[in-house]
Amino acid sequence: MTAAPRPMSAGAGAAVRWGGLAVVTAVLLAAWQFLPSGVQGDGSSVPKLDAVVKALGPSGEWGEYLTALRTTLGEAFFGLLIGFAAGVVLGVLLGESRILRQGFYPYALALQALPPIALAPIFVIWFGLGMESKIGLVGAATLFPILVSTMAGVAETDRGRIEMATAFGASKAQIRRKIVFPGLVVPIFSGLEISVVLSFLAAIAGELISANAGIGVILQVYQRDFRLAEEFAVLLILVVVGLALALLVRLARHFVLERMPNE
Amino acid sequence: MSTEEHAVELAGLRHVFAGRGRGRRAVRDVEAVKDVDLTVEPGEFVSIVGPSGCGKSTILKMIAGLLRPTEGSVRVWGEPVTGPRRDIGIALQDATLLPWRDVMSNCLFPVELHGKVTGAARERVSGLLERAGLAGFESRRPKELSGGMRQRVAICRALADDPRLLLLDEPFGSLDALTREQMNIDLNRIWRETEKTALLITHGIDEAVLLSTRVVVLSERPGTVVEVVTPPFPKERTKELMSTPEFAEVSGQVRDRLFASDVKVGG
Ligand SMILES: Nc1ncnc2c1ncn2[C@@H]1O[C@H](COP(=O)(O)OP(=O)(O)OP(=O)(O)O)[C@@H](O)[C@H]1O
Ligand SMILES: [Mg+2]
Repeated sequence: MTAAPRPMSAGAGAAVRWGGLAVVTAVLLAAWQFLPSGVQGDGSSVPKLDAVVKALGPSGEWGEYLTALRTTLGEAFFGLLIGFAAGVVLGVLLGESRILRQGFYPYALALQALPPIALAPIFVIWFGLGMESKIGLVGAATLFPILVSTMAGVAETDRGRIEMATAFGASKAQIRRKIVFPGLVVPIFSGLEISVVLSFLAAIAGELISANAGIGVILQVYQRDFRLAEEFAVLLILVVVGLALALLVRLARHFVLERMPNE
Repeated sequence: MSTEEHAVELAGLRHVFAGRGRGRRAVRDVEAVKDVDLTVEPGEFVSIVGPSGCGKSTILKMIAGLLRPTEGSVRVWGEPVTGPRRDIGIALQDATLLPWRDVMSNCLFPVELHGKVTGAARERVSGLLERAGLAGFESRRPKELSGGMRQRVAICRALADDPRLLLLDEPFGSLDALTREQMNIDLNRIWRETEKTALLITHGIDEAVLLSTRVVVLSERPGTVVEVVTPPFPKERTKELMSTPEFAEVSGQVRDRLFASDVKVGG
């Protein structure tokens, strides 16, 4: 609800944060380049930094990376959309109705215990090798965190706020619309922060099992052909994209909270 | 309205919170208040003081229509209370402002519930905020305000839909002594200028004497009225009043009654 406290001045905080990160990064990169690598001693087990940089440079397989990334991100996006919508709707329903919660929540918990990768073969059988099976998988994987945080948000609505609104004569519908729902923005974003990362993971996991396009597929191709520099290049791209997605959610959360309408 | 209509009329009021469960983890019935008789006349400022847990909030919630009496009757402006009324403004111990709304729209909340947000309502709220020393803070969010400012917003919200009766449950409980004194003077001015009827629950004896036309002292739980003290001061109250011998005498009267049964006062 409130912004994280900042004990230091913004400038000093940033200097420490970025300074520390820069030093650690420099040491890691130097170690990567100059330490002897590879147990086999043929240099192929861990590619040197310059080889990876080259794979990421203009001569790299950018066409391939980007096409694959577009497929994977597409699967993650549409799957997340489904998981998000279903999670919010089910979360509100389960949060508001004790009977539904007690009836369905154990099933939701049980399903959540299944790792997405174990579900992948089933989704491939149901939806085929294309994007659809991965979208379904992502939907199933991302639904749960959103459902749980939405449900908790509804069930834990501040009693004092409800009492205050009731005292001013609010109807049940008004309490829902003006007290409960606006209070869900924060918990839904907490769920979304987890689900965004999961969406990416589930899409790639699904592709590694069986797919005809996407990051998971090119990772397998590079592995098969021992193109380890390209393999590492793709992993680095994944890190950057994953971070960018998490950052995007933070920005969206900030934006929404600042701009919530006054009603 | 007839002139002899009471603002609030409590007769033979009793409330029991029902227990639950069985065996070792059972929760027993709690008789919070009993035999409470009290009338508040239009334009009065009545304070209720009493030991912690003696049922003060319970009484206020019954008047607000949030709780039903187990026995006895509650009337507001002559009508039996069956639920929350639109002509009551209430401010509870925690300000309970809505964090996603700015100050203006928090104050307009009751008006909005009653479907009456108009330019005139906005102007009235602006006037209230100005009187409460919050001019210029209309579009701030609660997290940008101090604790005292939030309490003042809560009081403005209570007054926003122009209620005839104002119910305040320890609205200044969490404030430091200095801010609290200032808020008391502010509240006295707001009460005089808006000509409301007010019922205040407080732990502060001086606060009760400073603000009220009558101070009602409750016994320990189950709470019942043991004394009504009438501070003989004009409507306008000042800080200076608090250092007069007359003020000390009235406060002493309330204090003696409260401590008569060696009862501790405090949150
Ligand atoms: N919802 C509830 N369920 C059961 N018991 C309750 C409930 N609310 C209050 N009580 C009990 O009723 C008694 C009176 O409570 P109340 O809140 O009215 O006291 P109070 O005089 O306002 O106390 P304080 O000065 O500490 O605010 C207390 O003993 C409390 O334990
Ligand atoms: Mg109380």
